[in-house]
Amino acid sequence: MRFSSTAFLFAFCLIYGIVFMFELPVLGYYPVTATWSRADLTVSDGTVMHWYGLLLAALTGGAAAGFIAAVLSPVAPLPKRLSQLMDRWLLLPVWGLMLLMIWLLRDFW
Amino acid sequence: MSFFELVNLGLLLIHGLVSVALLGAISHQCTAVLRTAEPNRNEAFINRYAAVNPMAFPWAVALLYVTSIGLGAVLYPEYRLEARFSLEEMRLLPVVGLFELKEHFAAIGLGLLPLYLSQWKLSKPVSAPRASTLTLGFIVWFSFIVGHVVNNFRGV
Repeated sequence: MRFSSTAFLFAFCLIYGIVFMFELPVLGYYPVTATWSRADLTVSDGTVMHWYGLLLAALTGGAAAGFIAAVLSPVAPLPKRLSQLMDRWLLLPVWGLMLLMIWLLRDFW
Repeated sequence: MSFFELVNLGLLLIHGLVSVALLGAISHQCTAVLRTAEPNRNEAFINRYAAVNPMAFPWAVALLYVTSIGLGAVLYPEYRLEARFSLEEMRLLPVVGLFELKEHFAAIGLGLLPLYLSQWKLSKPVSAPRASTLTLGFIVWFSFIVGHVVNNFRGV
């Protein structure tokens, strides 16, 4: 089975960052009532945890990007310059996302 | 102590033990990729510590990482309901924030795992994928220390 781990990483970080930054609705877990829901049930079910939904969205999107990139790469390869750039800055999304998280959680510090 | 609390305690202990094993494996691998000289088992401790074959670690690291994050995910609601509320009541917001950051860093590490594995699969011992290994090492160390500190303030 072909899979592009580079595409997975880039898509994973992009989706994770965007969903968290813009507070896009993802699957939430309500630990008080042990309920999973995409709807906002905080009034009736108490505190909500978005981490699982965030992770699920990033893993699903990343996996889709990884498979699509692997299938498309022989037919429609990326421009050489873009491909070289991605190889050179492979960990940029990881460190970029970690720094973004520190900044987005600044209210805690 | 109720059965539920006993199960949580057991899971927390296993989570800690798996984390220690992961810490050991990734630390060995990180020191091995940072070493430039040929491994020599007859030298000082740090050289002997680094004189491992880093090619033998990737699958063990990946398995331990996924197990650790899985156990953490199971225990997370208990933290949210018990520990976090107490920390907030004590106005220990930086501690709460550190734990949030740890969860996000751990998730990012999960996103890095496929690349880390594929790079090690393709690499020769001389061209070890340093950047991804050291980044994963940083995430594991950060998560371990923060988890330990937060548990000292208020455990589940």
